[in-house]
Amino acid sequence: MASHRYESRFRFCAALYNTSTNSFLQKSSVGTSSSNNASTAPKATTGLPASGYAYYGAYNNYWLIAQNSHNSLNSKGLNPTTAKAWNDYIWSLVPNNIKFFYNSSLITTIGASGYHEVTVGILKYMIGLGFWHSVDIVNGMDDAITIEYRGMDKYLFDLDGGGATVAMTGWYSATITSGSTFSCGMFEPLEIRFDTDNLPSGENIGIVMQNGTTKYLFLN
Amino acid sequence: MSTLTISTADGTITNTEVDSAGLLNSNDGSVSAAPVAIGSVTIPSGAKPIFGAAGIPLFSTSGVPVFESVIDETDNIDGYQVIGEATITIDWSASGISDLDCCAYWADNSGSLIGWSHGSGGLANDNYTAWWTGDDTGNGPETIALLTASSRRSSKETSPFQYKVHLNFYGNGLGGTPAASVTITRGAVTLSKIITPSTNQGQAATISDPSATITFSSDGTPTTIA
Repeated sequence: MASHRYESRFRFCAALYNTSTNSFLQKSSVGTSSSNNASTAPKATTGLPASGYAYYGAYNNYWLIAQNSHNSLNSKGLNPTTAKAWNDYIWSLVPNNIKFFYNSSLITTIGASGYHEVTVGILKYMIGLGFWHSVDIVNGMDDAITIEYRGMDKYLFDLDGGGATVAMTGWYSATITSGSTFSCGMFEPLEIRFDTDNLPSGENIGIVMQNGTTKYLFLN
Repeated sequence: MSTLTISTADGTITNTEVDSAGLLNSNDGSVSAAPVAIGSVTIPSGAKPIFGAAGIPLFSTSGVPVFESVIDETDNIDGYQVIGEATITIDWSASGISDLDCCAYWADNSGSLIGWSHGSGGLANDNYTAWWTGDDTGNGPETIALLTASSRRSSKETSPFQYKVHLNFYGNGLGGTPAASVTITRGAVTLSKIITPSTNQGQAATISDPSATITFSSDGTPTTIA
């Protein structure tokens, strides 16, 4: 199992705000989750995209479509030609554009998790997007270690149209036995915490980050 | 509960890089936990350390005893920095009065006092692990560091878990308006209260002086300050 962001899996919340009347025209309260496997994504409706299959999330007339942005380099199509061929593993190797449509019209292209907004005329399009991110936790200790993890649950839009804040899920817990690996994944921002209260007494532990340069000690 | 959190938001969890061929690298690498040995440390004379694994006393290079549960370290194991578990900060800088005196203790153990009238820095004792700074700043702030997690809190403490901080201006003769803020910080939780200390010039703080009472939940998280 690789440790990485899956750009084929995403969740979003979206809102359409009228800056003239200072009111929301539409707003997603929960957001729409993509399925856990791209191969199950249904064929897109007309214009989203025009042909082929698409991995997408939608709410009312909002559409976020994942497309292969490097199709000229990786010999893969802009959009999946079949649903079955584009399984999660294949998509995980392909960097995708996330294109935001409203009523089948392309509004903007989004490249990263987080809050995005674009204003066209008097309409402000507000999008909270989170890619699925999976990280392997390797326990090199002699004892079991307990971790907790959580991710983006939804975005909450400010009533005045000024932006949005991320609401996180509750904490999920996992105990990793000595020498074992646990893969935890959530929609970004993914957070993982190490509970020092659950560490074996007297253990001094280094946590090696993915960039390999930062270590943390727990003195218990 | 003491924790260390890593996140995609602050870069401690990294995003997959894209290579020149337009493909994502298949693996960013894992996050791993591994045993760490404590190297040689310098122990200031006259101070009582907390002992870590294998009976090795733990101090930071600045000489502050290491009693905390979470320590931030990069490359040099002897250069680690205490992040802290719970810190009480007492600030009277706005009062215009110098030399505030303190008397602090766990509510169930009022006989085990710490503070600037009870010594010039050090640990309370093995059962009431706490550290206070020396009485070395005329106008504050000064701090008390405290272990509050259930696994480290004295077993003699019973619910409700409360810590009391009494304050008196030793140096009231210099004038000013007596006031001091007491702030407890533990992880993401910060609670604060402003109290009016006594003004018994030239006298040490006692448990009869005005106080702030900090209440902790069973897991050591501060819940109220009153």
